[in-house]
Amino acid sequence: MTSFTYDPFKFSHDTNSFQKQAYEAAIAKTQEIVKTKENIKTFSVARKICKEAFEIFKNNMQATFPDPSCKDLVEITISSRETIFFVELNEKITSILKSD
Amino acid sequence: MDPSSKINSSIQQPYVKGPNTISNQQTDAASNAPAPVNDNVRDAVRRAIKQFSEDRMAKIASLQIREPVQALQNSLEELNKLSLSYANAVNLLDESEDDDDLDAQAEVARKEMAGLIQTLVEKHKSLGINKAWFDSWWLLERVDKNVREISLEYLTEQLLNRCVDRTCFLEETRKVIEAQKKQIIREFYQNTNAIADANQMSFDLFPIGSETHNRGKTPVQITFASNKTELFSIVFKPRDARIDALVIDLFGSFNNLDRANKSIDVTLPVYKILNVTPNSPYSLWEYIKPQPGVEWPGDTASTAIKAMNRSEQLLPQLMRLESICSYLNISDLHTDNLILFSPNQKDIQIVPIDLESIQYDSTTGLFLDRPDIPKLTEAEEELLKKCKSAIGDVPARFVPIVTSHFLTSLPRYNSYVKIAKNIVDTITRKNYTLAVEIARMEWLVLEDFLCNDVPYLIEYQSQIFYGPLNHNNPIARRTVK
Repeated sequence: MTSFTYDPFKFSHDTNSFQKQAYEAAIAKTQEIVKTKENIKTFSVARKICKEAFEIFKNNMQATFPDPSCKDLVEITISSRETIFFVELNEKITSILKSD
Repeated sequence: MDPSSKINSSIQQPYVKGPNTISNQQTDAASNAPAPVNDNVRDAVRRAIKQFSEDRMAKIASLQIREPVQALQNSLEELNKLSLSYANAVNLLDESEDDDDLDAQAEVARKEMAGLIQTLVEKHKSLGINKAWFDSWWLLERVDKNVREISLEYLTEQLLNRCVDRTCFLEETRKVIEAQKKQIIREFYQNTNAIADANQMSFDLFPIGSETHNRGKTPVQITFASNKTELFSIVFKPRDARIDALVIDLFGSFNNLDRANKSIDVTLPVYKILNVTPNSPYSLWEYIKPQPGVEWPGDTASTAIKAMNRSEQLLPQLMRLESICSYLNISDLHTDNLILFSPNQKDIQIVPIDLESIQYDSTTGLFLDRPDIPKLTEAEEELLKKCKSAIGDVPARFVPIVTSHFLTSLPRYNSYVKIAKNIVDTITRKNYTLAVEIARMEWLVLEDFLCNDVPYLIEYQSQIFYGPLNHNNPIARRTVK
């Protein structure tokens, strides 16, 4: 988990940008589904959207920070965002799907 | 305390990477096994849990919170069962996404768990619990099935310690503030009759830090009131603030320079910071109220002011801060450590509220890329030299890893191993020689993590100490070349 290959503040900034992009895209997708589909299986749909959003975030991180010396740091940062995608976002998406 | 991990008294002994760690004491056969569960890590976590649960019993007896803590512990057993059911339901659903029954089962498991968490939050408000403290229980479904049991044991212990440590710390804070009440009123409340009224004033405590250190310690906003009318607030920090006070004094000296002696004509924020006593582990800070409704959009101030369309107004202030802080090697100035303050309706100031971290090879963190700063004037350089010399005699915070990386590691029962390794790597890279065994470092980090604490290191007189200076726990010494 070497921290000098990437500037920690730039690393943090890029991480937050990727997280925001994936998060907002997931919300937009949910709103689209609510408009266009009926009889939605709330749990499954929310789960699928969250998993996709997390994968997008993860792929962006791995592609942007490929240096092997930072592998641990990148992994820890990715897993740290699981709360955002699988708890917070999941709750938000479930609420949007149910409010239809 | 782990008996196998005593501090090596010979501080000269170099750090040697090798088998003498908690994490790699496995046999080769075990390390080649598929999907390994590191028994040594699991055993170390269980040993630490046993030690902490015994310590906790002693603490709660003195605080008279045995009943609520016991009730919480029982409820957490129930939560652990629900969390396992939820994780299994979600994993089954993931394997066959379109199954209506599995979807319904997962939804039932989700509702049961959410219901219990809601109940726990309401029932145990006095222990400081909030909904976010349970986030890791939702993530059990993402943890390998082999380590779910130990993960839950770890999370349970961490949450119980968090509640008890918080209660202990607030009790300690209350005592310090009570003892310092008259001084606080005299120093921070602008009312001439206030001292006479001190006995009539009450105060409330509001923990405000995003992380805790050294067994639940965090900054606390203290609000004083009289007859239920709020009068003023201060911030209590459980740490030495001599460096912060020296730097804020320096801001004042810069402000007082003639225009001709200023490289940038900007007024910097000046406010009051007092150590309770000169070497005290407690400090009292003037409360800087953040501008309501204005939040930093991001971690780095230079990017954030651009996103807020405030560059024209705030960039000169940021440059001024950069020119001073970079000279003094102050780092870790991410936006959590900066407040946007409006002294009046027109102006806005960037106020640093944590200037304790001195890192000789780091940037300040105010800018993503180091900006071109106007050359300092002779008068400015003179002031900076004096301040730097004074700072050199004071213990400074040593931040081996960005705080957010510590925070993100806390929920994983085995992350202490990587974090300890990273601390050691950073220390050795910065020309320090480790004075303890790596197993000892891992144990220290594990103890902190089991209390949900971010490790706190101090650099002082060519040594690095783990924890507060008064714990006298040296872990490294500067390498003599």
